[in-house]
Amino acid sequence: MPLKFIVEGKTEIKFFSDLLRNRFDIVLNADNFINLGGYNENVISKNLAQIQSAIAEGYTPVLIIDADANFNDRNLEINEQLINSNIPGIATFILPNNTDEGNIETLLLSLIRPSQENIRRIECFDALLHCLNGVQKLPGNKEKIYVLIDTYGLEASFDKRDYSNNVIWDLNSNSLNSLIDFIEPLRN
Amino acid sequence: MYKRLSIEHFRGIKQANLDDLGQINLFVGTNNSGKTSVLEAIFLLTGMGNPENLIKIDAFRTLFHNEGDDFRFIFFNLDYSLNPKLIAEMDDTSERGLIIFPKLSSSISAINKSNITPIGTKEDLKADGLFSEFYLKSKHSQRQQFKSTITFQNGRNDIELSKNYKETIQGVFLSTKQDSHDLVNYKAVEEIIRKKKKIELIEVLKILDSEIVGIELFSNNMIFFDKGLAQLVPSNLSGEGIKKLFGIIISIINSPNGIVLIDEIENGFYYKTLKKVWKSIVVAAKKYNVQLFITTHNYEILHELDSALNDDEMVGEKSKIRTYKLVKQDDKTVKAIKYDFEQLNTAIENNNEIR
Repeated sequence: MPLKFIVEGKTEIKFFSDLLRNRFDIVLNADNFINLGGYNENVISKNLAQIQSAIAEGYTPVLIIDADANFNDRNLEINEQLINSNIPGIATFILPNNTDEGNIETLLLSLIRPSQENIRRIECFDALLHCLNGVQKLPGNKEKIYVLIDTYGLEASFDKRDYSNNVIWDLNSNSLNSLIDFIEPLRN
Repeated sequence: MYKRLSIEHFRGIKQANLDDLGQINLFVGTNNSGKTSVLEAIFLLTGMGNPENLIKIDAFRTLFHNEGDDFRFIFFNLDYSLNPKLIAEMDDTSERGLIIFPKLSSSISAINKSNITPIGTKEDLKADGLFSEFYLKSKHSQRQQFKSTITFQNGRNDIELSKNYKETIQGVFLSTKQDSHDLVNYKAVEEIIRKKKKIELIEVLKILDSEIVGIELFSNNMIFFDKGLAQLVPSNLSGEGIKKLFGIIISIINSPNGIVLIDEIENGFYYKTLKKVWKSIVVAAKKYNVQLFITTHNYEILHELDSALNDDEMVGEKSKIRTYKLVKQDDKTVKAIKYDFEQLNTAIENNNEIR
């Protein structure tokens, strides 16, 4: 059965499209995604009809959400939401690795190829953060990833960047092991 | 108003249930998912005392009957042994149902050289008409049963109505086969003027075309708009959108406490006017307490409905809207997945496909 990834935003849509093509030779398109538009305590009920439609159409739903501050809390919350919406059996993976706190950017940072040049540019950005210490709003991981890609003169926007670019990304990184192991049995 | 609907063995639908129907119900789904068939089922139930509707629904699809066996088109898999069964629960908890049976033909063609092959052992049943058994059941009263028939003979249809049944719900079907000109029915406008509803009709039309200040009828079956010019303007000179909206609003005003069914509402409307079109329709449906059943496969239609209902003056209408995605399964049962307004709004905001 085809997969329907239920994700928090456009960053995930582009990343999973590139990942599935690169690692499983599966081409995904817009029909293979439901964009939840972020996470909140009603996210499943607000998107329930969309998920039920996907199931009725023969898709295998695959829920991907961020752990954010605490993996265990998010795991409990999402299971409760799924049970309350009568769709308890949905395969769920909590980013970055189904164990730790974090989000899609945490995973993406761990996939940056550790070349000298990449490390240098990341260190430059970290130095900027250090220099900016105390300002109203510090740039975060999203900005760090954007700047790294942008400084190579490549398309850096979250819904257009190319994760198959080997200069920046390593889609064979061990950081992906738990995610790959999760997807592997679902793809048939 | 209809609250629940069950469809069995009708057209291409083996079985379908629609629950929690609202005042305004949209049906979306891929081609051949059963959207138009659902409208036809509601139309038949609404006019269940009149077997002529069984021919009308075929005519909406340009299936014109030339012989008695053409009644086969409404049977699931074209199989006379599978009787179409339509049951609805209304919001006052009363129930109405309609079961259709073939009136099997008693005459058998002589077997001769021209029709000798292929010959099977299975009986090839043909019909020359239909029986309709239908009923009404209120909560605290016994079921009232009725029966009508329609028979095709000598090139025409003979109808036998139930003498004891009088339909209480007015229903209008606006088919894709009618162009916007056909929708604007002179007699229907005349009826509105006679009922002193002309000003209300103009008020709704003004939402789309603010220049319209009056409507006049002439004896040659012509309808004119007063747009404040030196002369009246024939309504036929208006754009497709205003003519189509005119037809829809006329149908709503002439069906108080009834239903209006609109197949593929998007036809004829320019996308930039859709928000105003929706406001006109929602306002009219509320005013005349009309339940709407509408099919579409157009994204802008859904997007602009969402946009219209997010305007402050329409907030109270959100809870009346339902969108059903119809998904036909391999066994030809149809799953109807309900989106309430919040779920529709979320899907549209996040640019998710819902058609």
